[in-house]
This record gives sequence, structure tokens and C-alpha cells, in this order.
Amino acid sequence: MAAGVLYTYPENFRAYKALIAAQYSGADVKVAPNFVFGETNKSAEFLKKFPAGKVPAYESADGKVLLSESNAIAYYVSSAALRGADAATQASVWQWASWADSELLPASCAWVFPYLGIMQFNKQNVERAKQDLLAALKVLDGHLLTRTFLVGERITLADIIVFCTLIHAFQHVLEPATRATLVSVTRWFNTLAAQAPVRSVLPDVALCSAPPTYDPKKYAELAGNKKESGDKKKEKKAEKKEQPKKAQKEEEAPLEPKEPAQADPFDSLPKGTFNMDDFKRCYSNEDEAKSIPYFWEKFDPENYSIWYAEYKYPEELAKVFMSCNLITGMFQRLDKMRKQAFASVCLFGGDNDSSISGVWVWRGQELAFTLSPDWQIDYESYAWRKLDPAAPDTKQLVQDYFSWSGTDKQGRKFNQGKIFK
Amino acid sequence: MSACNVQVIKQIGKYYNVPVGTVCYNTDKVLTTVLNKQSIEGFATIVLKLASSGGVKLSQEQMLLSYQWLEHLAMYVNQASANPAFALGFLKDINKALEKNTYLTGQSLSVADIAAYYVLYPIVKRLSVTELESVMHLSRWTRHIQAQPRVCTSQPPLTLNTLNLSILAPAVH
Ligand SMILES: N[C@@H](CCC(=O)N[C@@H](CS)C(=O)NCC(=O)O)C(=O)O
Repeated sequence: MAAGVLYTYPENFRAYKALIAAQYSGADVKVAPNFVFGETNKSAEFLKKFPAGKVPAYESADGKVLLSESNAIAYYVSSAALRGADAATQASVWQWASWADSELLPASCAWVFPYLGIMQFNKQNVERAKQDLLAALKVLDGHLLTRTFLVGERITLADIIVFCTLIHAFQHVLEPATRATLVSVTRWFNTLAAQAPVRSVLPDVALCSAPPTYDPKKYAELAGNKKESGDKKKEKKAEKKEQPKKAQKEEEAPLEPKEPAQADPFDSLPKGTFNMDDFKRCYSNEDEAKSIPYFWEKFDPENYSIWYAEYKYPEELAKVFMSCNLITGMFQRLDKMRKQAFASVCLFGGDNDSSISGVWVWRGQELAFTLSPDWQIDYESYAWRKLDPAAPDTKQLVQDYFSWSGTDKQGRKFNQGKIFK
Repeated sequence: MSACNVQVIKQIGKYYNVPVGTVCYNTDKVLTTVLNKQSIEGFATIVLKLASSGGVKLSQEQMLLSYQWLEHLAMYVNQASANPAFALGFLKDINKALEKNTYLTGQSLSVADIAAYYVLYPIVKRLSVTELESVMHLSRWTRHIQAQPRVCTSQPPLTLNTLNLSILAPAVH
């Protein structure tokens, strides 16, 4: 039986396909903890496994099965009963999965998203999408008039996939009067929503109670947020960008058991005289003209070390925003290292011609990443060089990186910097 | 056609794989059986008892809804068996309930569906194609119930050749 990890942001209807199928089949599918949309799925490590950088994505427990595309993942974690007993049944399941992707999904998004404020409202487009979806649902209604479920006389993956694809529409736009024209589809949808395996993933699907209304403020707000969060998502379609953003809100984050308090791995090393917190405070509050001399004045070469790190695969760095995600993603995974470490990591150059490198400082004389299993994810993608604190070119590197100036070895100009503190 | 109910009890017992005792009518003409030295009276009560000895656990609500359907069936089935015009009205009521509900008691297969299927079998069997057309939801439900495991052990599934069904879903058997 399948066992593995599903990468997704919370409340992703595509991920529900696999999660529900797993409930039916008994497959052991866990949602990856600490997933951050736009970071985790853009990290070098993720892209190595899933080059498209999209979610949901699935990794089997033994790491041998890597899958993206929600329908394929759901198929993989399904039981034989969900997949269908013979080729004809399996083909029918596949037929409905393709039909959902091509006939339902685009129309549903184009109808629902403007009302959620995550796509611009254009009356004509919304009206067309509505007609398209209703036409498709009429076909489905005819099918379900004479059948209890989509394929054969039992629930299959076809029901799960079509159900998941229709969740947004039933929640937000298919109001009671419309549902009254789709009696069989509604009957079927309610039956699926009530099944125990579905409920354990989606405890309550509240059906749309009144015709949707468009709220221009909502869109303006979300569009405004987008700007604040930087240009990194600009090139993506509104659909892809906004849905996860909504899901990322803290109160909607999945409940994760709190990790037991862990001892700081740095505790095993002598404290020395350099106070990391004091330096960070100085660096944050003062100009580099002050904080860099302060650093050299306080630095304790006995108990602390300075390192130069260079990302090993600069040719893989396409877009600037991806590179920035790579850096912030790494920082996030190294969160517990913050207390006794500091770094300035910089991106040089622009789209399709860039490099990443940085200067790191931490307690101890060894590569700190070996101190904790949590820290091993990213560091191997970098070449690490220990710097001699007394050497003049170390002074220069520290100067350049801490003050975000200078160029990389190839002469690419400083573009952006991120501070780990 | 009172024998109909005795036979239905036997079929339900077979479905749940439990003994039904000696089913007969007592002096008040009430269907009765004796199980574990206990006398049980009435169609609905006997059916619920069989389901529970078969391991079925019902919530209070499911129990009441099932009871209601079983009583309804017991009350009208004899008249429906005897009178085709009455039968059609009887089936149309059930059809109405199955328009919005996948199963008689809601969202999952229950003892009411199993019992109703056996009770209605001879009545549905007599319907003409046009009559079947007028109870599409009941046809949909019948087709579904008889496809469930262990339902068709003692009699063949009904052939539900309504125009609609045969156009949209060519018969599999
Ligand atoms: N057809 C794919 C679509 C997956 C997809 O578009 N995922 C979006 C989020 S809903 C994503 O990961 N986007 C990230 C990106 O485009 O960079 C599926 O069904 O899994």
C-alpha cells in the first residue's frame, strides 16, 4: 500500500483528490509539514524532484516514486476498487478525470474567482464562464439521473475527482435556485460530501446559500497585498497566485503538533566573548559604517568562525524571484540556527544570468549544519570556504556582503540581499 | 399477498446472514417470529432486529427513518400488490423521495433500502417501460441496490429497460 508525503498548501482542492482517495484505500499519505507555498516548491531541493515546481506533488516514503499532477497522484494512492476492476471501467474513470480538467475546471475558476476577489470581475467573462459550467453540469445531471455514481454502481476515483473539482462552484456560485435545476448532480454531490472518508478530509462543505455578489473592494485589497509582497509573483496568473495566498493565512494553516522543545545544538559549544544578539542589534539599528567596525572589534576568532558560501548551480537560476525564494527558503529551514548565526546572502546579476553567494558567521569552528539533522537540506547546494579572520580579503568580503555592495567573481552587479539574523 | 412479507423477511435474513426463526402471522394477523426465545412482532421491528443481529449499528436518527420507511412499506404493499393503479401512486411517492436522496434514509445504504428492494421487487417487475419512465429515480435506485453485494442471491436482478436507461446506459448484463 502506498505511503508517502504530499506537498501542498492547505485547502487545496487538487490535493483533496489524493487525500480522499487515501482515506478510501487506507494509503498512508501525510501532508508535508512546514510547506510554504512559493518557497518550498521553488527550492532547489523541490525542483530537483519536481521540476515544474507545482503542487500538489507526491513523494513516496522510500523516495522512489515522485509524482506531480493531482489526478496521477490520486490514482497512485487509490485502491483497485477506486481505480476500477477492468480496462473499460478504468478508462471511464480516466474519461471523467479528463472531462473535469477540461470541461469543468476552467469554467468553474472563471466563474468563481471574480466573486472571491482573486480575479478581476468582467461581466462578459463571468457570464460566459457561467454558461459553460452550467452546460457541462447539464451533461453530468443527465448522466446522474439514471446512475447513482459516475462509473458502475460504486464510488470510484471518477467521483472523487469530479467532486473535488466542483467544490468551489458548490460553495460559492451554485445557489439554491441553480441547484434546483441540477437535481441529480446535487443529490450526488451531497452524497459524496456525506461519506465518512470524504468528511475526514473535508468535514463540512457549506453549500452556497444565495446568489453570489461581486465585491470590488475585495479584489482591490488582494491586488494591493500582491504589490506589497513584492514583484515575485507578478508573472503568474491570478488564479495560481491568489488561491494559495488565501490558503496561507495563518488561521487556516493545518494543525501541526507542536514539536517538543529541543536543546539548541550550539549549546554544546563554548560561548566565547562575541555576543551575537548585540551585534545583530547594532547591525539592524546602525549604519554599516558603524556596525562593521563594531563586528571586528567584538569578534571572537577563538570560538566563532566566518564562512564564504557560493551556490553551486548558478546556471539553474532563471528568474530573480526564484533565486530570492531559494535564499529565504533556506533561511526558513535554518530557523533554529538563528540564535548563534548571522549571514548576508546576496544575489548578483539579473534574470538568467545570476549567482548567489554570502558571508556567514556562527559559533564554533566547524560547518554548523552538521550539528542538527534539520539543517542539512540546503547546505550541500553551496560550496563552503572557511575564511581567515585575519586576512585582508576577508575584511573586504565582510565589508562587501554586510553592506550589500560590490560584484560577484564574474563582475555581476549586486541585485538583492537577504540577511539571516 | 401476505406471503410476500414472510418471503421478504427470509431474503433479508439471508442478506444479513442471520437466522429469521419461524415467521408467521399470529392470531391478530401480525407478522411474528421467535428469535432467541423472544417473540418479535411486526414487519418493521423484525427487520430492524435482523439488521442489528447482522451487526448493523444505527444512529437514533437512522433507526427512526428506517422504521418509518419499513412501516410505510408494510402498510401499503399489500394494496399495491393487488391494485396496479394504486401501485403506481405508491411507487411515485418513493420515487419523489429518491430524487434528492441517493438512498431512502439519506446518504448511505441502510436496512430500509435492502428491505424496500425486496418488498418492491415484484411490483417493479410488473411495470411497463412507460411506467418505469415515470419513476426514473426509483429505477436509478433499484439498479444501484441490486448491484450491491449479496442482494441478488435468491432472485435475478430486474431488467430495467426504460427508454432513458437503455439509451444512456446500455444494459450490462
Ligand atoms: N494540473 C495540475 C495543476 C497544479 C497547479 O497548477 N498547481 C499550482 C497551485 S494550485 C501551483 O503549484 N503553482 C505554482 C506555480 O505555478 O509556480 C494538478 O492538477 O496538479
